[in-house]
Amino acid sequence: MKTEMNNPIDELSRRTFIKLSAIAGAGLMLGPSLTFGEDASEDRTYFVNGMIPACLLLQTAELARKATFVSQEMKKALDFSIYLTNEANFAFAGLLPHEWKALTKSSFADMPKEKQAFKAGMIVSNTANEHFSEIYSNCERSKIPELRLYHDACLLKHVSDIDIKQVTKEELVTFLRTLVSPMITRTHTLRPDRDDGMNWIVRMTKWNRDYYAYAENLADIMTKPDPIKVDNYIKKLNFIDLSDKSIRYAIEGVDFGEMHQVDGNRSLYGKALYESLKRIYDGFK
Amino acid sequence: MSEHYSHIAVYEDTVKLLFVTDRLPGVFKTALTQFYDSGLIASTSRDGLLWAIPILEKYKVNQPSSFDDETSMKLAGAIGWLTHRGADLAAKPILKLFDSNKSSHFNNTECSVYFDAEVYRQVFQSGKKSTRSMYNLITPSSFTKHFNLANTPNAKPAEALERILSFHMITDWTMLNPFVSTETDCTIWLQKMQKQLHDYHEDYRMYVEAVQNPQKDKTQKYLIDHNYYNPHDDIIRRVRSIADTEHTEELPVTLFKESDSLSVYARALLKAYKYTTAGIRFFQNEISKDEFGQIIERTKHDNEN
Repeated sequence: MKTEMNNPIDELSRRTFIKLSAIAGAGLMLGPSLTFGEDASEDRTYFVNGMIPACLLLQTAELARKATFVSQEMKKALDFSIYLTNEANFAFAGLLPHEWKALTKSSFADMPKEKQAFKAGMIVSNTANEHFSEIYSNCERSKIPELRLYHDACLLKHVSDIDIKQVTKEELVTFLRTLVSPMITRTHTLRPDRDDGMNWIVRMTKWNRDYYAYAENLADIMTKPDPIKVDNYIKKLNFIDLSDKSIRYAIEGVDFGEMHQVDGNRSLYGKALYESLKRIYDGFK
Repeated sequence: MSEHYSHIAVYEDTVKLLFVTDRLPGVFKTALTQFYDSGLIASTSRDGLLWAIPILEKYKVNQPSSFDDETSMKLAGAIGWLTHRGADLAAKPILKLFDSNKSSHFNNTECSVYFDAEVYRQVFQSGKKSTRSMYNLITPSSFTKHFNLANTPNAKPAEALERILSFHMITDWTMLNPFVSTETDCTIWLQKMQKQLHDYHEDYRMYVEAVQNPQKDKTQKYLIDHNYYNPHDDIIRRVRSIADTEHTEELPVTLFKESDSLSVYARALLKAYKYTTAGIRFFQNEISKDEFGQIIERTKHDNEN
């Protein structure tokens, strides 16, 4: 009974970027995290906020792991895992649009592990905001969803370990979509907010359908990017430069002994990555 | 302990039966046709009775001939949550027989993982068959050690992609809950976040192992000794033979008779069918809330849960 809709993907592609719900809007007005391109809030769904903060966080953790001068305590705060229950997983909660001033001010040293991870996530999120909000503010409103998709596609391609030339669009779409069930399984079972299960099912349905459409768009751009758009959204904006040292160290399996070894980056992403590491490192000093 | 794929399978089989036996009023037919995925998602989520009953109660009054999309999603969700309960009440007594300590050789977490692995093999034919929803894909790579991309011998597993997207998803799902933006106390916010991010976190590698490398003694103990899935059970045979939900037919009453001789999965399906049909009768004002509560074996514990 594949009859949820006659042609849902086409239908959804057109509305991928619709505002998801009032909750999304309310949530996103709160804090600085994840909210590049404030003026586009109506066009935003959750994941369309983009992969920049999540990628930055993962690569900051990679750098922390390889930096021999970083304390064990800081390494632990960033040692998150999709396999295990782990205090460091709180780092991802730090990417959510909610800034706790008390936490911003207090020192890493006085915090339990969860809060350290959470604060590290907040720092990455704020750093992302500082570095990328300008290009999103300058982007024509109607083009922001596409800008995000090009940034996401570019990041996922470069930070991942796959050879995109070996992969067809269809394989990638299948991969992206297949991920949902294992991920739900990992959370044990989804847990709706206790006060709001009725509306939760509505939001989750929309999230899931939007994710399915997003997977299609993302796979399309990852495998067949439009060179003119790559030029406009990536190159001209100096979004990412793979020769940046921060990015190289994050991707390659080499340790480094001093902070300056990952400094001197040219691209926005390279700079944001260095800054994320440095700010967390300074916080732990 | 947690099942995921078995909840989806019980939901799908129950909905097939509801269509074929023509138990669905028009609004539910619409809901389960257009928003089948909402019920599927609900079937994999927790605390369902907290919402299944209020949803049915809220919309049964002054029923219009059709509902808006969001109400239809909720009605489909109510069906999914009731099937979840059916699956839980059939499986939990078995799971309780095992140690809750994950390091024990036989333990309840691993038992539930073996249940899911068996459903993946039997119902989803090791990924050859997906769900009936176009928004929930089950594939031959659903249980591979990191999802391999590209069918070439030297294709690398896409572990980094999996990590990024997985964390991204859980951050998104967390944001679907209002407390993220409404809770003003940082400590409470973090506690609630802990529930979202931390509690019951399952190691998916166990699921991969249970499918790729099932242990003989564990298969015996978890699946065979407790008769988890028997393809020869009448209800299972019948439901597997349903190819479409367009036609309706009267199925013999005996098919729906619960019995200890049936497999756990068959009993899960029968319970789920019983609970959902009771939910529909409650919605149609044919039974009271108390009667509905009795049929779905509601206890005081459910209210607290």
